Amino acid sequence: MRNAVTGPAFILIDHVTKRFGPIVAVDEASFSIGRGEFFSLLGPSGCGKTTLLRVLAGFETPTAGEIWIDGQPMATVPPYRRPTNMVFQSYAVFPHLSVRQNVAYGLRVERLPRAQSERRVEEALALVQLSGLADRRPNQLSGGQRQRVALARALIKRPKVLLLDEPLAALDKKLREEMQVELRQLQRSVGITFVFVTHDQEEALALSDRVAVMFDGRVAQIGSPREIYDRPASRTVGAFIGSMNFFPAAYRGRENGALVVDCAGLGKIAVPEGNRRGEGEPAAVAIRPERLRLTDRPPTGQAAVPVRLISSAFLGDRSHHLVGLEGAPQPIMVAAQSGEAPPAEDRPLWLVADPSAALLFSDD
Amino acid sequence: MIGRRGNPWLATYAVAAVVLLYAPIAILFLFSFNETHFMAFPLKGLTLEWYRRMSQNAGLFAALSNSLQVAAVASVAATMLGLLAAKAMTRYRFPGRAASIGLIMAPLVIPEIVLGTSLLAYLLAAGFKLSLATVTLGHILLCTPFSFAVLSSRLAGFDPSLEEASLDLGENRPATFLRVTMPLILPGIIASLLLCFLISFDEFLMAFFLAGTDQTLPVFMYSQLRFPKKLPEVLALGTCVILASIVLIVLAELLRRRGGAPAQQ
Repeated sequence: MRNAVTGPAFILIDHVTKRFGPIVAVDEASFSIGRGEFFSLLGPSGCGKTTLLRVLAGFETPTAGEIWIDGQPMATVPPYRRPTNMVFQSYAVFPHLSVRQNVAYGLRVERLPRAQSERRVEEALALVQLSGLADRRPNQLSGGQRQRVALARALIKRPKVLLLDEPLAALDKKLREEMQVELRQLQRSVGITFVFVTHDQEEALALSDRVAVMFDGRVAQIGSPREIYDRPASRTVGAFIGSMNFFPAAYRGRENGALVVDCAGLGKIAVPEGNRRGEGEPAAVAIRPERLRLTDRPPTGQAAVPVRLISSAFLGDRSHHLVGLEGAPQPIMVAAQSGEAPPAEDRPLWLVADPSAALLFSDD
Repeated sequence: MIGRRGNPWLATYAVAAVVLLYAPIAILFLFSFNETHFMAFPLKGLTLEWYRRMSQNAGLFAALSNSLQVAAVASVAATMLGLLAAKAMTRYRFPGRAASIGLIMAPLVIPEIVLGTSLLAYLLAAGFKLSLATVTLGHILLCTPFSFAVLSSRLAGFDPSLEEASLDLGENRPATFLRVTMPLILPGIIASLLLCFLISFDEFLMAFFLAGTDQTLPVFMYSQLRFPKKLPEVLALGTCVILASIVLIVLAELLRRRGGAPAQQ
C-alpha cells in the first residue's frame, strides 16, 4: 500500500540547528526524505516541527547545518528561489484577489505565454475542484474552499516539495477527514514529495508513508506509522502516539530468550527480548489498551489479575474501560470492540495481558 | 428599558452638544454672505461680494499655493516615514523598540509651542534660512506620529504569512510589497495622506515660527484679522476651506468603503 518511490535521499536535512536567542527550536536534526514520499513531522506544539518546515521553506535560516533538496544546498537560498511551495496554516489566501488571481499569482515570475498560463490555472483549479468558483473572492469561500485555493496556488508552481503547515487544523472533524482522503489521493496523483506538519497523531498515521516524531526540538523517532505505533523507540513516543498503559517494573533477569520483569500489578512476566527499548535496564512495562482484555470468568492457562471497574466510556466503534489494579499506581485503560459485551459492574473481573504485546522501557 | 425606547433627555443633550459645537461654523458661514463687515445681527442682506473680493486677493492665492505645497510634501514624507516605522514596529521585536515608538510619538505630547521655538532656535543656530522648507520639516515632525498610528493599526491586522506566501510563490521582497502589502494597506496609506495633509494645511504655530517671508494660509488669515474690513473675506475663505475639507473627507470615506474590509480570514 505504501508505494512511495524511496530512492536516494531527495531531501537531506544535515545536522540542522535553529536557535532563537537562548531557545533551541530545532536541535541537530538529521534525516532524509525520499522522492515522492508523504512525510509527516509530528509532535506537540512547540516541539520545533513548524520551525523545521520554515527552514525547509527558507523563511528561517538554520543556525547550523545544511539542507539539500535534489542535490542542491539550500540553507542560504531565499524562499522565492527554492523548489518548494507551502500551504500555510492560516491558508494565507490573498484577500484582495479572486480565486483565479490567487491561483495564478506565482506564474507571473515564470513568464509563460498567456495561453499556457491560462491552461495551467484551469488545470490547477480543476485539480482541487474549484473551477466553478474561479471568480469568487476569498471572503465568499468556506474554510475548506480557501484551503483548496492555497493548495492549487502552491501546486501550480509544480514544486519539487510541497510543505504543509497543519493545513487541516482549522477544519471541523468531518471536513478534516474528507480532506485527509483527498490530500492523500492528490499526493499520489501529482507524485510530489509532501512534508506535512501536524500535532494530530491520527492524521499523521492515516496520511504518511513515514513520520518523524519530534519533542523539544529533537527528532525522537522516524518510521512508518505502524512502526511508530507498534514499536515506539522511547517511552515519550509511546505515550504521545495513541494511548499507552505504563506499569513500573523491576528487572529480574533472562529466561529462555525473554526478559523477566516484576511488574507492578501484573506480577512476574516474561517479555520477548525484541520488545525491549533503550539501552538501560528495563524499568517500565507498556501495553496498549487494545492489547488488554477484561473477562468475568477466571481464565485458565493465562496470566490474569483481578481488577475492579472504575468507569466505562462508549465511543461508538469501541469502548474504553478504566479499571483499578492492586499495586498499579494509575488506573489501567482497556479498549474493547463495540461488539463485545460490556463487563458487568457487580461481578468480579480479571485483566488478561499478553506479555508478547508488552514493551519494556528503561526510564528515559 | 430606557435604552430601547430612548431617553428624551439624552436626545436633547445630544442635539444641544452638536449645536454648541457647530454653531460657530454656522455663524462663519452665515456672515460670509452678510452685506456689511460688522459681525452683528440682524443680517443686512445677502451678497457674494466677499467671495468676489477673496477671489481677487493675490496674497491669499500665494498663501494658498504655499500651504498646498507644504501640505503635499509634508503628508507624503510623513506617510513614508510612518509606513517604514509602522512596518518595523509591527513586524520585528528588537531591543529599544518601545523607546523608538515613544520617540516617534513624542511630538504628539510635546507642546507645539516648545517644538516650534526649539526648532526655530536650532535651525537658526545651524545656519538654515527660514522658508517654506523649514515649515515643511516642522510639519513632517508633527504629522509622522499620526501616520505611524494609522498605519500601525492597519499593519497589525495584517497576517504576515500573506507576505511569506508571496515570497514562497517566487516574488522577491520589492515585488511582494507591490503585489500584496501595498494593495492591502492602501486604504491606510490614503487615510494617512489625507490626515497629514489636513493637519499640515491647518497648522498655525509651526508655520508662524518657521516661515520666512512666505506665509501659509492660516498665517495669512491671521494677519488679515488685523484689518476689521478684511474680516468678511476671511469668513468667506474659512467657508471655502471647510467645504473643501468636507468634500475631501467624504471622498476618503467613499474610497475606504470601496477598498473593502482589511485582510481578514
